[in-house]
Amino acid sequence: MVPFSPGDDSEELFAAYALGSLEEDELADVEANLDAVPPGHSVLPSFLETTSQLAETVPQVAPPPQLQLRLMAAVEELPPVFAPPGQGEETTGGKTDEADEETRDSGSRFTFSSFAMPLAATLVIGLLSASLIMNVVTTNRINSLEQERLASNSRIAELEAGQTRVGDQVSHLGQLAAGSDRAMKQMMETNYLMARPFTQPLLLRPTDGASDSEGVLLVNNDGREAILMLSNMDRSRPSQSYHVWLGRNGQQFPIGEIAVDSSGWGTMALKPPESLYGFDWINLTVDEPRTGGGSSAEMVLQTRIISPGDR
Amino acid sequence: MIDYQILEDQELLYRIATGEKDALEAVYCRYSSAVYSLARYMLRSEAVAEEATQEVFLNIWLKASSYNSSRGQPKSWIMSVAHHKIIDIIRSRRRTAAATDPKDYETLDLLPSGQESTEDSVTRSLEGERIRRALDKLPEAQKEVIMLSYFSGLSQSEIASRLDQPLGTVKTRARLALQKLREELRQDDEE
Repeated sequence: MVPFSPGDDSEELFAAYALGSLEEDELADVEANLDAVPPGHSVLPSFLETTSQLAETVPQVAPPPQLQLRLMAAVEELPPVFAPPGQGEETTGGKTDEADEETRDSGSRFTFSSFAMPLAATLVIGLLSASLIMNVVTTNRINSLEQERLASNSRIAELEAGQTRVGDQVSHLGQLAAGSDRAMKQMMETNYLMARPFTQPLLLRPTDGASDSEGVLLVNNDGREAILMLSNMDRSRPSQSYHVWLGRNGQQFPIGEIAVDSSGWGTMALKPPESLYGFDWINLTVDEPRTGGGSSAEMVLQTRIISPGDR
Repeated sequence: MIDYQILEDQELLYRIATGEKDALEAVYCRYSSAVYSLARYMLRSEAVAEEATQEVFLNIWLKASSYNSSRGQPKSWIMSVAHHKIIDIIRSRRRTAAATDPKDYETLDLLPSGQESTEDSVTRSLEGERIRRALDKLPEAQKEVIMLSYFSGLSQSEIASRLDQPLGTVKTRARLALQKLREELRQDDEE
């Protein structure tokens, strides 16, 4: 469209514009060329003033109060618009919503190009710098924390290992103490039995007649209590357990196991369910592994049980 | 603390363009009744008028920077924004109705666009005696064009079709009508 020139044609166009009777394409053309009209050479302002007075002739009704609240809420949701008046293309609202968007974009372009762009660029540079510094500081801090974490884990591992060692030692000491208690108690029982006037000793001898192993069974007078002591047992093994059996009439009955230490010494208290004097003999066996698997019981010590009355 | 209520319209528009919401509220307080009344009258619906009023002031919020004082008073610009938005809605409703049901189109068309009913209605509801007198002094054919275009939202082509007149005749009548109305109001001011 050719820019407006004074005359009836342009006045008709402005009249139609002011009355709102232009078609959409005509309206867009007029608004696009308004800037070409020199100020004071157009009838448009006077036409617009006249039509705005026409608007006042309709019955005046106040809008509902909540409309203002809705409007301001809608404004809050819009991005801010910063552009001084008189700088952009004049529009009056006859466009579609898409046109409204274009107008808003036009205002935004003015803002960024004249004022906000340098400010935004400065802000962006500042933010980037701050971000970089923060990134370096954060990275250093993370590295420091990672090193602290590794050192802490190492220290924790050391403490746990130390705790395990201490626990093992405590457990070992506990076992030693328990063993000492048992040995002390058995020694006391042995001494007690030996001190009693009717206690009789029975000597267990090796069945092979060659070794120097032997055992002593101290039995009280009624045969209900006894102490079995072993010495010079097989020292080729660091520790060994022997099965203790009582026998009579061709049958044998287990009454316990006796352990010997690395010096070949062992002791145990016997609490038989009936008097030992009701049995014919006592012997000790040891499990020997057999070639090809399994094991067999080998008798190592034995003696006949003789009641005090038979002596 | 700025008292926005005492600021001139032009100052308020400038402040709106710089993003001052209080300035928009001041403009709203000043012109919401005029905008809402025009919308209600032309759209014949309170709900649609409310929606239109909100859109008008959103447009003002977004387009305040496009206001140019060399092209008229702020009030003229504000009411022009409102009028164009209302016409936009009227035409949009017409298109929607025409695309759906011809009966709806007829019904909608009659509400704001019926020649006699609109003219009579506007004439009856004119409160500005001065403007009414000026309108009454216009030739009937020119007054008819003013009513159909401004209050009914018809385009010049539609008016030409409705009045069975050449488009050029309608354009001339519209120009002459506004020129005479302007002169009548100016003389009235001087008197």
